[in-house]
Amino acid sequence: MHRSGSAAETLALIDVASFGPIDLDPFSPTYSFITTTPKAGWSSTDLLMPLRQSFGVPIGFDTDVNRAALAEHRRGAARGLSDFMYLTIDTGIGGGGMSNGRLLCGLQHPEMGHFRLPPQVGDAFPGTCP
Amino acid sequence: MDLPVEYPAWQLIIDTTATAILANGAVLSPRKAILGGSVHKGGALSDPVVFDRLRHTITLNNSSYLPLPDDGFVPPSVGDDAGVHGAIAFGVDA
Repeated sequence: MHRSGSAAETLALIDVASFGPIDLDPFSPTYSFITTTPKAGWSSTDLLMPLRQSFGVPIGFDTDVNRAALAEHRRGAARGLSDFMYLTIDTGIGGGGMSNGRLLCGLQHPEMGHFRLPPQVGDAFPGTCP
Repeated sequence: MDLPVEYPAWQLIIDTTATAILANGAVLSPRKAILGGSVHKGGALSDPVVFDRLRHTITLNNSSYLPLPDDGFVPPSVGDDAGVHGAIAFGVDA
């Protein structure tokens, strides 16, 4: 963010908040790739490469839910909390969480919607995960 | 197209959402769980009656085991484009 407010503002940073699953490990050969999404045409797509090639600025990268959780932490329902979770029900089920003041990210970002539910009576939906 | 509050699918959504919140909540032990996304935003989950039914189902399925604060389950307050606001927050922090 350029804070001078002058007319000649320069781009200092780009941040990408993407649906997942994405590779967030900076040491991985597939860092910044969308990995195994069921969304057609998006698997194994490097999201940041075109930006790297076009802009010589640092690029932040995280899941859309982690960034939404960050927004809720800075100016929303989770302000001042060091432990909270943010779940979204959208085209997929996503989740971000903060524990002890840190947004969760381990080997991969959390996949809070990816677990097997006990089937309910009348529900024949087989799921859409890969 | 929004489904009316009485539509049977909502109970299915409420039950599965309650399961997801309790399962993840058991691991994370959050002080607050925020529920967002377009199903919430555009559909009957944003209806206070349905949201209260969801809160009730969470309480019921929890069987008084985990502590559930009164203000522990809430809709988002940043509103639309929370992801964009989060990206800007990241940029400001950087």
